[in-house]
Amino acid sequence: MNSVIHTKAIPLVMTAAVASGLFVSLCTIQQPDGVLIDAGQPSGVFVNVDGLVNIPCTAPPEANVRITASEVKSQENIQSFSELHVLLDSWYPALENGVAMGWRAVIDGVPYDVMGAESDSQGVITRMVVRFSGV
Amino acid sequence: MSGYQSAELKLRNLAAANATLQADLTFPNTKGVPLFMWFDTQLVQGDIGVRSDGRCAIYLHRVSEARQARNMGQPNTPLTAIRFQLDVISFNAEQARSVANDMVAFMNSISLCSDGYYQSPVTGPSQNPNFLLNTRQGILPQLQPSPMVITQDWRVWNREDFPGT
Repeated sequence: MNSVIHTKAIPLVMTAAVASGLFVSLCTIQQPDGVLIDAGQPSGVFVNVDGLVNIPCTAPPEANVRITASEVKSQENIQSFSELHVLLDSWYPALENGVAMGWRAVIDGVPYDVMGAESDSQGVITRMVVRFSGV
Repeated sequence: MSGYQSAELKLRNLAAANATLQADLTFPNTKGVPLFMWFDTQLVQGDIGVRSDGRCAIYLHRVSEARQARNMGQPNTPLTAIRFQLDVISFNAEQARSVANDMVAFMNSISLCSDGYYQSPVTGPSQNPNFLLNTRQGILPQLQPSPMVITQDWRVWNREDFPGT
């Protein structure tokens, strides 16, 4: 009995979540254009991945306990990082492999490095940790 | 202030007067103000910007300094042999390599052992006491994209008492 309920309820989880109105951000997944310039450096140009454009999402800070923005200070420079926990509005399994191909996520116009992506075993949700870094 | 000028100050003053390095290193900083991006200790946070800004910067620090001694006794003469580590950073690897090459030409044209160092370039090899000891490259891998850093180790002979007052 319970398994029947679960089977029917699970696919509705994200429908209900999206209906809550919390998915106020937009995420576009991009991949490198594959072009090398000069002595062999990637061009730094990214192009949208088909089917992964303007995905509604939530993009809060990774932890809600304490601020996660961080800096690594060295003698030569100061590197700063901040991470977001991104929940997409549906299941996007291609993202898990995309992480290994240098894909990035542009969330509300800001490009982030995708540090990891994972989906649930029921094929309902996909979530990512993305990072913005600077020096 | 006694009028003392450190080797770092002399180098920056000379570099800022070098037309090639001026073109290589002048970019708007985080406030949008054009800045000669040569830093005497540490890269200023944010000034390198993002890759599309096309900026390049140099920062150096003094690895060591050996003060020379006269043979017959007097220690701490004004002559110092300084090792500088000089880092050239850019998101564009070839730009960093190019500026590093310009740095070599620049260092070959100056002397910090001449009282008239502002009259550089010097005229002969015996007055050319800057030696490039080593060059290596690296990146800042935690950043995406990762900027290229070309590191040069320089041995610079410097007269601490110059410029004279």
